Amino acid sequence: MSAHELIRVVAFAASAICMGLGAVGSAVGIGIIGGKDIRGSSINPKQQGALLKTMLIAMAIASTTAIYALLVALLLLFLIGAV
Amino acid sequence: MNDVGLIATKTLFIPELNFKVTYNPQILLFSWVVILLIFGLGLFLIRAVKGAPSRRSALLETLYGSFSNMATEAMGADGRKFVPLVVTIFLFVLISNWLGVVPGLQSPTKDLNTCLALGFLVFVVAHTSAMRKKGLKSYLKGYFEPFFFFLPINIVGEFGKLVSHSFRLFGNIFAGAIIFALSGPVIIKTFNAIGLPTYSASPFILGALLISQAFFGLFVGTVQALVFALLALTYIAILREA
Amino acid sequence: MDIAYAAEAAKTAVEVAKALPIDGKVIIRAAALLGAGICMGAGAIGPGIGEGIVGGRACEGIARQPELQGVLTRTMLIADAIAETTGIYALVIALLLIFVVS
Repeated sequence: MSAHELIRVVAFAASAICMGLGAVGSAVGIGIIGGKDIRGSSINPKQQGALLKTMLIAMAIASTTAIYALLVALLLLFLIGAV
Repeated sequence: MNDVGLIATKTLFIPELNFKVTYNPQILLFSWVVILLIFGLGLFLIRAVKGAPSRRSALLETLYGSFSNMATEAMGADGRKFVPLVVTIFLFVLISNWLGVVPGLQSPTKDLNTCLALGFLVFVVAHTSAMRKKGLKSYLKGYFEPFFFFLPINIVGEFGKLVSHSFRLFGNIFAGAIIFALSGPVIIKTFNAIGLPTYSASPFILGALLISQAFFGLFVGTVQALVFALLALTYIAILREA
Repeated sequence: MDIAYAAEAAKTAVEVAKALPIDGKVIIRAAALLGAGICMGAGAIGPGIGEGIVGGRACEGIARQPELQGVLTRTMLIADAIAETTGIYALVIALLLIFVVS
């Protein structure tokens, strides 16, 4: 195995680990937000519009770190793992 | 990634002045397309200002009024001078996110330079208006706020806000662009590997593109534009309050 | 004539690079890339869960007292910005490992 190939192997492995672990946190977080939003809707059904808006904003922000992990994974995959 | 058209840069080099800059002509072109579209939207909506209430004036009132309400809630009466900036940023980000959904066009916000420029603009506006309103001493004292040793944490926090603000928008739109650019070749290669001919993959490609663009392009683009504008308003409001 | 010679030189250079043996510098670069992947992956877990808890409590608070919607949304955004910073530390270290380690 030459140097070039070793770097590519490790880049692919690192990209997989990165995106795989990075999806854990934001999935749990978005689930918590959804659950609390449903509970809030059942406490106060008249506020569903405001609750939906707040839930979407909170979900968009909670998924940010998964996007960072996606960025690093794509960098490793295409910029370093390219032929 | 050059062959899928995701990064295309040219370098402008002036040897006499020792000046070298790398730029992306596609992104510049589509930024101008977005600006022209916003002008067109403005001309379309300006006719709703006089005359009877119509659908146009309802659209204008919803758009400007909701941001104006949020600004006065957050900053009091002098928040209204920031509303044009926030609405412009919202419209620019929204239209440029939507532009990438159309098959021939690309979004300017899929490039990190556009997103960092917008984030840096909000950063500069927030800090200079806070310095003007509170005076230099009170602004600097704010960095020592809860405890004396919080100074490095606060400074890093400010840069962290800038980075997260820009990278959130960039990451979402860039991921959508990659999915759009790569879904075709991936499906074709999978079909070739199984043994089916290439042309039988075309309805699957069309379906995958439609579904992915409807989700990633329109929905995520709208939500990210709203979050970007809301956060811009919030950062200006936090720095201005005493 | 020069162009043909340059093309030949470029091709042999690529072949030489592909046949380089594995020595210390290559292992350092490979380890840096692996570290970048682990860093960003594990570093994205914490802020994700944290911002989830913040957003969830904000939703419940708005359900209990809808008049405070503006204040609660702003507090949620401030808390998110601060919870984000450790994620940004992880991103910065990952990018440094990818681009700066030779």
